Amino acid sequence: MFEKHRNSKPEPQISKAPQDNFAATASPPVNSGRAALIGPGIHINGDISGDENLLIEGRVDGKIRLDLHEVEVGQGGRVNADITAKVIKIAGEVRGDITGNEKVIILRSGNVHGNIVAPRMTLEDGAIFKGSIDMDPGDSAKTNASNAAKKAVEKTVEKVTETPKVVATGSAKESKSYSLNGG
Amino acid sequence: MNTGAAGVGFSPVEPPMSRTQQTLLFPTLVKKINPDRRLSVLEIGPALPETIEFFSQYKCRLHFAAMYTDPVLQMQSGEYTEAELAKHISQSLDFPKDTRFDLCLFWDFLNYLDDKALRAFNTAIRPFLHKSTRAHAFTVRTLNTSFSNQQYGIAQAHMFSIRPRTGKQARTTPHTQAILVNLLSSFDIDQGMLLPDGRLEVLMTASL
Repeated sequence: MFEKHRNSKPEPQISKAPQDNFAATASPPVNSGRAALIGPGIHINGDISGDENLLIEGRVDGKIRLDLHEVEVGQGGRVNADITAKVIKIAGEVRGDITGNEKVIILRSGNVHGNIVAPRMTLEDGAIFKGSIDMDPGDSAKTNASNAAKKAVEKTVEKVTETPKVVATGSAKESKSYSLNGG
Repeated sequence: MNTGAAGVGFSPVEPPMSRTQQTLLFPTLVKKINPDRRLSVLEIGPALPETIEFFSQYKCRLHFAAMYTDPVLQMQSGEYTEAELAKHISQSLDFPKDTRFDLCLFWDFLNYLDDKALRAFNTAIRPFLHKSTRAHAFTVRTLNTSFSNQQYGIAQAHMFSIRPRTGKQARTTPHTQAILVNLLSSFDIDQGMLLPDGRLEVLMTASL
């Protein structure tokens, strides 16, 4: 959906950051292993994969794949790449598709243009996002959704005594049995 | 404290800059969501935390178009033809070809488009509708009704959140119900609710 510039260059070398540096700007890493840092002065043009958490404060053009780990794009980070990781936190700028196996969080300074797939998604107040979000809360949430819908209707019925003037009504469709999204 | 069923008021639990507005029509749409099927939603405005939170309870695909900041709002007053505007809007929306929305949240965006731009928008959105697509929008009962520079979210099924929009407000061209259905011919209006400030909250169904 969004234009990306990708090269098939060999995997770049990335510097190792002390654990404390990562923890200073993010919640604890997904595992207790090492975290890598791409510093503000680094520009990587290529694909990144690996077996540890990653903090990006520099610029990355390519593809990032850390399925079992956490990727954080810091406030100064600029990423033009698809990202796949267990948890993805974005405080900087990302152009690309994002797959969070567990969760995606866009912090208030984040600016994301792309498509997101994640079972859970959090967008902080002030964050900028354009694109689509695919969410599937799972079986337990389906029950919650049914209950929420029922509650909403019950609340509506309670409020009917305060109903403002209806100036146009219509559609018999409302009383027919159908669902908004099929089935 | 909310002022009434469809009134606009300040909520004691919300930050001062955020207001809420109750809605009687939107819950009728929520009631029709089948939680076992994927729901496809177009939000014409920006992504707001409460809207994502609301839809996170459903298996769904949410598309945030952020059209309130799109250049089309400036382009419409220029020399562009309707076809050129439609092409620009299609490129801005940038939906995959197989996208078909179940629900479109237009809020008051349609009142930021003049007649030509609204026809262009109608052309651009039509391929992404199916015969049961529903939409929610605000229109006006009389043309002297004004729109504030604000953005909307879904706090609860029966409650919208309203936040001031940053940046200068674009020129508005309020459309009455009769004008709207002529210009936005891909939809028919099913229900309308007159709000205390003169706006008309409407539910629409695709007319393909």
